[in-house]
Amino acid sequence: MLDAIQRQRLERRIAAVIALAIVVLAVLAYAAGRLRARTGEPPLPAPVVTAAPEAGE
Amino acid sequence: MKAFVQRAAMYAVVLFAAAWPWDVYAYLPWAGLDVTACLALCLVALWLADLVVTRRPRLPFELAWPIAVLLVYVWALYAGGRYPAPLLATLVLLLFAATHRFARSKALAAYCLRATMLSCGCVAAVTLAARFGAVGPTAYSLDTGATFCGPRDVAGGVAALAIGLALALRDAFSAEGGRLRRAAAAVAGLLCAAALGSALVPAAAHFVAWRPPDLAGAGLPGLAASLVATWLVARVMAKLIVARRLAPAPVLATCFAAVAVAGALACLVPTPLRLHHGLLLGLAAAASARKEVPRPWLPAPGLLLIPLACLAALNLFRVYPDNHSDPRNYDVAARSDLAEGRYAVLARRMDFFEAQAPGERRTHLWRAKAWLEQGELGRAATEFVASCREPGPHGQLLPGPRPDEADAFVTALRDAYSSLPGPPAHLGFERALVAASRPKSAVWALRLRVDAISFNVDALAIARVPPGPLIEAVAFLLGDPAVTEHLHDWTSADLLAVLHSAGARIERAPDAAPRDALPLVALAQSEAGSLRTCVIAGASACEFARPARLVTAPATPVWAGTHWECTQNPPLSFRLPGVDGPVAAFEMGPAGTLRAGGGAAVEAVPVSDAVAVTVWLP
Repeated sequence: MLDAIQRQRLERRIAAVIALAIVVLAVLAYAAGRLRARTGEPPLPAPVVTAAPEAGE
Repeated sequence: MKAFVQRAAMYAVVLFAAAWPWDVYAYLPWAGLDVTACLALCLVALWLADLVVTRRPRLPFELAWPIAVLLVYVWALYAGGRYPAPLLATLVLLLFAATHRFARSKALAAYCLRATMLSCGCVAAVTLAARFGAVGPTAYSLDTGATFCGPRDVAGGVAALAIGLALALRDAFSAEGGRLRRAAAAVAGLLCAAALGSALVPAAAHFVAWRPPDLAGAGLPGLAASLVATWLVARVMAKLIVARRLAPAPVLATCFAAVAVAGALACLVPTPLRLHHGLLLGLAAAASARKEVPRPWLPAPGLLLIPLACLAALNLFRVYPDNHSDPRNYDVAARSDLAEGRYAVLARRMDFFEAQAPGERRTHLWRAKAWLEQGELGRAATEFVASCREPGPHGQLLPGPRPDEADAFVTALRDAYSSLPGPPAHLGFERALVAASRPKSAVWALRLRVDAISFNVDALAIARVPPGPLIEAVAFLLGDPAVTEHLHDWTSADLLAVLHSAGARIERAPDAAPRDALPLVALAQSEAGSLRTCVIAGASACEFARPARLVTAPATPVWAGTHWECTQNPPLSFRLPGVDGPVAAFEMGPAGTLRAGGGAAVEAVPVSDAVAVTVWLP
């Protein structure tokens, strides 16, 4: 059984790993976005479907 | 007192957990209240009351310091003009603290997450129903075309359904609970997966529009605040892991899944801060606490959905103009687009809403404002006229322009026209006045126009022209036949001057034209996606409108009048039988040009707000 201090220490270590994983994920996503912005095409507008008017309308 | 506060706060947590996935639909129309925001405020108020009574925040230091630092950051950034919504962030942080304080029970956390999962399942069902046109979506992306029902933005929709899916998967495969609970979780999970897939799979073709959160744009203080928030999330997740290692409980893994999904999505797509972020993190922190409080009696989580579904029913098919957080209330976004000069975005936004509600009129008011800002006065007038038309049989999201809005627009249009060097070659301002139910003002404006232009024609020839057909032609151009009563004392010369200033071609009639069908006026006017054509032959007139997209399809036009008949449309062929002479054939091209003999006259449909007028004089 862990005492309070050991529990806090364990929580801090695990939190550090998780925080690092989150930061790495965010940085990777940001880098991918930057790379795509430099090399990729600009975003295309999505087709907006216009309702077809009925005959005689 | 303490027991009452604790019990009331627990119920508030439960209700909030069930209500947040409904988001836009959790709006109480007559009171103008957002139910989730009210519950969050109640919870924070109860926490503050408890703090005053007990003088103990009951928040461990490792969770308290990030909250304190974030509060300081938020208000410092706000003071520096770099953060727009400090109240929301403050409320989220305090909601986290309050949830951690009052929901310190694994059973309560499990109950709350089940309520959230069932609500997510309901929202997913509504989203799927929207795919079949049963309801209109609330969240939409103009770039990717993804839509959701319930959330106020696409990122929120993805997050809500992904969290619902994660919770459902945990519950469906959990050994805890009965068969009914697992079946409900499986159904909710399937609905969430289907709704998520139906939104994201079509949008995958526009993956190029994906943008991750802008880390550099936040600046150093923003990055520092993000790091502190990341540490807070990581610390709560670590607490869940340690608590599970010490005393395994299924709810800990469920909480972990919910927080992990929300956190991962926040890394991948720009996710605006929402109140439920505080709740989910608070529930996770509370579930991992060592000391527990007993859970009060609560009904089955499914029963909580009944009042929420009733509330949603009030909002499903109706948009309340006072609900500014509802994206279907496009006034809010359009105002922002207009203020920032994003005219193309505004046009696409209006396209989207007109596709949702084909008879929508208010969208044309925003288009008119955009054209006015760009100096396209004719188009602005045409769109304004379209916004003032009578409501059609289709349902509308928002009402048409109010009288004060119409007056303000007409005033702005008048000012814009006044700055022009001379009268424009169209009757845009006059048509706008007629559309705004001010026909007398329109006639006055026409009089000013006639006085301002020079129009020289053969006075003797004009003297033989009866004014009736010309009055009808001008009334047609103004868009209201009732204007004729205000033009009855106008002379043919003045009316011809008006038509001439509107770009009319005024010619002698060919010999084939029967004399009793003259003056003959052919008009073609393109507005709001339809082509209105009108031929006035002598004392008779015919008018019909048809959608421009049917330009190549055969159509049977509706005719009124006694002196001529239509055989084809378009080009519009008609015959003018003389009183005692042979029938003469004519053809009006789509652009309003008129020719005798029925020769092929296929021309382009006039561009929007264009008008083509041909006048044949005796």
